[in-house]
Amino acid sequence: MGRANPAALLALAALSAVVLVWSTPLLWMAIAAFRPQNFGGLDMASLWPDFVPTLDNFAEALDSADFPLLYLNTVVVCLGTLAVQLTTVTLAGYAFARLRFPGKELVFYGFLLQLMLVPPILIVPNLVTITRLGLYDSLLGVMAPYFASAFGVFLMRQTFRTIPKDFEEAAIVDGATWWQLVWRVLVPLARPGMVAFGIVSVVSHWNEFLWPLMVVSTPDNQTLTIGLASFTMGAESASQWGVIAAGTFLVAAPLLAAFALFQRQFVNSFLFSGVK
Amino acid sequence: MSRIASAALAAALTLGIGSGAALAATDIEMFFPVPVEGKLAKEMKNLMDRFNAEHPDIKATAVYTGSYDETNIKTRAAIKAGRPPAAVIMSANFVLEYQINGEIQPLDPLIQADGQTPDAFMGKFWPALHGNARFAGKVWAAPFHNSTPLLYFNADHFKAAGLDPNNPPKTWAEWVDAARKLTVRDGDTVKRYGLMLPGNYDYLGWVMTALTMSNGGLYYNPEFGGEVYYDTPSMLGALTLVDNMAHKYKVMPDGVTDGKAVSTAFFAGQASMVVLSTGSLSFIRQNMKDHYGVAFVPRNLRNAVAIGGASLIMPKGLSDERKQASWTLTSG
Repeated sequence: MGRANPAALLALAALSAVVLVWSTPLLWMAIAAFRPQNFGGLDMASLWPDFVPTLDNFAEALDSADFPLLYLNTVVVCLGTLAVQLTTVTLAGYAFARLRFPGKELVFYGFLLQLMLVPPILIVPNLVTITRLGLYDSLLGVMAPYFASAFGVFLMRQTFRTIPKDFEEAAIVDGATWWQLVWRVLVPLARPGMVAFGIVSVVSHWNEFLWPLMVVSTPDNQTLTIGLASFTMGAESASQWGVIAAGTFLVAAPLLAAFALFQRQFVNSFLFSGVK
Repeated sequence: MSRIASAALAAALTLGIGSGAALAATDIEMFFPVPVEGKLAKEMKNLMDRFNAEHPDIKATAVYTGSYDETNIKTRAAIKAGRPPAAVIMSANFVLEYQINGEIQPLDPLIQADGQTPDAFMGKFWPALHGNARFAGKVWAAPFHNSTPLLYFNADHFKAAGLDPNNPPKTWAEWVDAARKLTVRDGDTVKRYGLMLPGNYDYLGWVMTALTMSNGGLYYNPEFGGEVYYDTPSMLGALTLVDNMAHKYKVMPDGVTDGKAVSTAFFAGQASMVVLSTGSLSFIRQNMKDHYGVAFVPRNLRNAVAIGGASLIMPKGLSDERKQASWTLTSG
């Protein structure tokens, strides 16, 4: 690359600026988590690691909440939700993509309409339903409203529709039943779409706060976000930024690590499925 | 939590009156927000363990329920879903709403069942707190951790600026004067602000209430919940004061300053005077390195502030056992 292309340089500069803006909170969190507690100066807002790193903040954060249990509950909620969702959205996506039945369009638009609802307005009706089902204050109650996902159904329908019918026709000629079609032909081909949906689902449930707070009362059933908030939110006083940063680091770390490990697959999935 | 509040909580938990020997322990849960700093969630659990040890017939669980607002949402949703908690530490702002909606029960019958009069019960709390708990002829809440806005000032800055830390500003005129003297500028940039007020929801509203009351007015009609006075001369006067501080004298940052940023700036010596809750006192005591003092929010016409913080309420729809167990937890 002998000559510098001005357009490419400009693009690089613009990208660097965006990266800087987006990474600043993460960077600050990582640095503040290891910064010795100090209220005397401006340095707590600094992004420059000009100190001897300490684990005190982590010790205090770990002491402030039962992290192993919180991790366990959050993993159960995320993976439990995802497992049921993958089943429901695959089958519903298949129905909307391939099957013919009266009222299909209407039902599909009904599903899409549900995407327009802001989740908090459903808190009270959902909680009433959950209570009637006897799921109040249980992890199953946290998961239940998400078992059917309009977004997932839409995504899987679009994914299935990109797969040429030839594969299915060949399978039918070989005598495959409808569920063999789905399981052996469509699901393997739709994997990028499912991975993309899985990421969106896990990240949103990992970070969710309000709904688990509504459903769960027993401390033993709390998820990470509630545990984190219980020692970092104070409305009428200043904050111990170091402990907040350390706690946030602990909550975010598993997702960050997973992203670093599977970066290539993630990016491929998103490129394939067009999810941003 | 202020010392008074801790003492009140300890008293509530140690002096609780046993509700007689029941065979099975009554399960109750109490919703609590974390309005103050630190490991309150853990301390709350310790207090509950102590209470449970002293009352074998009751099994009380403290349930962390987020901020004041989230506690409000959760309580409302739980009541609608038919699972009311036995007790809630509810922001004083919302208690009236529950009373108007008929979702909480008056405590008078329980007070009387203990052989007390409502007057004697309320007599245990500072008179200033009564308005939040006793209205419409009944006791609807037990004051729990209540607070008021307070003026905190950096005594070292006062001395350096030629002000007397033993004689902090008492009137708005003195306040503006002090803020102007305390502000340190370097050309057009402000190195140190004379004053900072928390501007985030719902801190600012509370501070504006205090300033409106200091200006001789009221923020809302205390006799009739829901009637507010946003366009009265006293309110506009309070607004003008804040506007002048920020834009005319430029002794206060404009825009929204979060309450946490205000206390951080105070610790860092970037703000010489701040208005914060009495609930911040112990946190400031622990973390402030410079000498500091506290004073009443300066007055224009009178010294007056609004009570904030939270009270214990008891939702309707509890069984008699749970009601009694909740009362044992609440009373003291």
